[in-house]
Amino acid sequence: MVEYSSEVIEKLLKGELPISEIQKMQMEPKDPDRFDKYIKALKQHVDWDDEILMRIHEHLYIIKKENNYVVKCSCGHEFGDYRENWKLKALIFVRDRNELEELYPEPLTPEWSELREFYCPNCATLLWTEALIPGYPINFDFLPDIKAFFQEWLNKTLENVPEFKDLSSEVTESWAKNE
Amino acid sequence: MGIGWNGKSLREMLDEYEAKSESGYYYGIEELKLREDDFFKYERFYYRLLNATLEARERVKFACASPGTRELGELLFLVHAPEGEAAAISLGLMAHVTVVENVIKTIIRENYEETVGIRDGDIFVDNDPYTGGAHPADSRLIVPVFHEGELICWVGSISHELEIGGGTPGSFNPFAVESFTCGERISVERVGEKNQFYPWFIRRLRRNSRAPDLWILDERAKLSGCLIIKERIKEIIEEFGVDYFKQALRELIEEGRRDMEARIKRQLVPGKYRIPHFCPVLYKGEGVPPHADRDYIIHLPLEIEITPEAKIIFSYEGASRWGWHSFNMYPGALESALWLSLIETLLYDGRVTSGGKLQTELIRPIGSITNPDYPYAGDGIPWVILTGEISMSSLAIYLAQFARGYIEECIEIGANWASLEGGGITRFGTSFGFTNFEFSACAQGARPIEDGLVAAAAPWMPETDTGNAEIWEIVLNTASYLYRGVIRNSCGHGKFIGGPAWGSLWVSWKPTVFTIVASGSFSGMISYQPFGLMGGYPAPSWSFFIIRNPEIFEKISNGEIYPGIVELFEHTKNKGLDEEIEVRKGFANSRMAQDRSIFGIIYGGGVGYGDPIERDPEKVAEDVNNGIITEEVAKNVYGVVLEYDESKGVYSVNPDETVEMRSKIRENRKKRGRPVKEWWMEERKKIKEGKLPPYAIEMYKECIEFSEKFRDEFTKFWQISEKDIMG
Repeated sequence: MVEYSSEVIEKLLKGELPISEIQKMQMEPKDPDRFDKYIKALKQHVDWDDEILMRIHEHLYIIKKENNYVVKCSCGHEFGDYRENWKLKALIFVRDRNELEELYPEPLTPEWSELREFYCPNCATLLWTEALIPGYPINFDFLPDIKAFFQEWLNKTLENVPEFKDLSSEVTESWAKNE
Repeated sequence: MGIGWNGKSLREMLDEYEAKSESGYYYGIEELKLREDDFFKYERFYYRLLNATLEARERVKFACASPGTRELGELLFLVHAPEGEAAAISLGLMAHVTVVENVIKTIIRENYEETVGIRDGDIFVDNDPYTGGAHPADSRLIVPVFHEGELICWVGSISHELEIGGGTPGSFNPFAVESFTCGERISVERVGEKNQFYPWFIRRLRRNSRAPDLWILDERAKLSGCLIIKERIKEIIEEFGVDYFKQALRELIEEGRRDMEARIKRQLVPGKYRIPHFCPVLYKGEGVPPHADRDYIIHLPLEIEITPEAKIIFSYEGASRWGWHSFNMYPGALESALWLSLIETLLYDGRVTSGGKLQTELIRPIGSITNPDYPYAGDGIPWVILTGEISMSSLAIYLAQFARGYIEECIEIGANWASLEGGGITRFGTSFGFTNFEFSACAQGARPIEDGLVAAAAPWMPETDTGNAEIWEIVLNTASYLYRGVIRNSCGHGKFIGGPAWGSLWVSWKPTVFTIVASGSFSGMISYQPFGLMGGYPAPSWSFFIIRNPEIFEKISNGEIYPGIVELFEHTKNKGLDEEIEVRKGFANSRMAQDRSIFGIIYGGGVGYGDPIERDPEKVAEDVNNGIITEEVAKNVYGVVLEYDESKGVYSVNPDETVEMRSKIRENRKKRGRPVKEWWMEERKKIKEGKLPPYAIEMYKECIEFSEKFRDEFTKFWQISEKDIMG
């Protein structure tokens, strides 16, 4: 069975593992205890102490806070229940045609899709970009089934795991009510 | 008495397979007895079978005439169980593992066994997407293998042909709006017996292709390969015995299923992944029939659910209806694309058999572009969309592997391609037609640990660095390469950058008649990827251009203009000659090239990863020095201020100003960024007032009317009624 030390996983995470080592890693079967070592290594990356359940993004984590499962940025900003699309709580900027030309050469500049940028309201890190047709609902890219993952795949006990359900439309519903 | 195992008919075997596989195990096989009894014997058996397919591929590849097959290796050999499932697959076009079995199943379901008979030495060919293939360019050749009167297995092969006739030259026919003009169609036909092609089959290929020698020699090479495998199978049966052969085939397929299940549980995370995307159809004024003459968008929302039972469900609920274009997908097309993305991301070092398919499910709404309810829908180039599907589904796997901690595995399979096809009459009076496959060297997306590659192998291509450009001049016939190079600022920007796009430039030389057709993944009208990764930017898609004024080529010949794509655009812009260049951000139909016309394609780039202002400033300086990005982009997008050393001709980082610039960018984001709620209110108002662009309204109306699921999602997100959008 393949196994790596915590130090190797930490180096991989920090981008300090040489490419030759990474290539060897890619050629081997996957190490079954990776998830635990990954989570342990991630704790070194943030200044807060909440329990990390899953890393869903370079800077975003699902953490357990009391009885809630929330999305938290590495800077400490919290986006709320992980079943609500975190982008709904971010800052948004939509590039116009001229601003797109800052990014791409003219013969390739897209004309029919709009580029939306999502920033963390606290640290202003660019967290996500999406290129969709104007009017398209903000995409909820990934909603993990935390309960099935921990209890059925990892055989770990988690308390008060909420139902696996996309709650994003409840956010927009509340916005419409308060309009 | 049937020709299948133990006197059963093939139909009985297929019915039995389907009934027993409902258990979740392939053919109901719960134990791998041969594997457990003698592991080494079992492995030896597998590798004998696999090596037969590899040997066939390597031996016959150079008998093929088409560079697509010979140089790029778009050639695959397989061994199938009698009811169609694949047990061993060579290297090559692995996307097509499912499409050969679809032909076999059609032969069985349509009862060829009784109506025409299936005999040792028979040869079947099919290139009809309606019977399970991806597009007509893929020609599948299949032969049955008999042992003492029993059909013991099938041997199959597949190659992509470069010229298959049809309305426009090449292999894709991207402007065919019905299947009738998508190229020559061979629909599950016996084309030979006693291991020989019928002369009328060869004549048919010769009469229906602009470059028939390429197709004919490919078919002959595939037949030779299948006969090599047949010989090897006889040797294997002699060594292992026929009973062992039969049982081992079954166990190998079931083992493929188990391998897939284990990998899903080990590497992924159960949950829902959503990747919407869009394919512009740019047909207006492009010479198509009146009912197809418009520009619009196809909607393709992919939702992937990984269930607690380790099944992957791909759903296209909400997709647009099938349409009058060449991108419609019959069952084999999507199946092969999605299966390919799993092979490339999860199973690339595993045992690929048809068994893994049992861990997947595909939801294709009837009547949609993913499942047309009209048997003659245009199906010449569903790869316009399918390669996107490979890329989009790989993005979902990327997110899952990232969450699981296997960040070294995360890969967005670059498939941001464009195709140049053409044909006509050479100056010698001979016909020619081609598909240039250099597009197979696609840029790849960035990974959480490194930049994406510039011109890597495309997922459907096993051997493509396309370093040998000259090979395409043989089929291009009346055109020569002038230039190939990277296009600045075309990468998906990010902490790690996606592979930048590259482009090619050609000049035509004294053709009698030469028309060019451009097509590719989606179009330059939209970004290729629907999102960037973790704050990286998506990459732009491709574009085609042509300059017909021969004076421009004269200037290149005289050394007045360097024949680079960027330089050419800059020159025409600076000299006020913009009108000399026709640029199409997408499909171009039958552009006539005259003597010394210059034309080119800028291919697409790869998606970026992470916030660009987190990219190592030294790497940004390197990018500028290497011509990947410009100094302005380094400053405005990456926040890196550079200084130019004229004596050395290189840029270096100004560290203090870089810190300041990056801080300013963060401040600026806070200023220009608005709470999503505020933006949502404004957008909602626009939607209610019908102020979205017409192409967007048209797409939403069509999909809301067609799909209850999309209607609910759209109206719930915007908290509007159906009437608000439908009017």
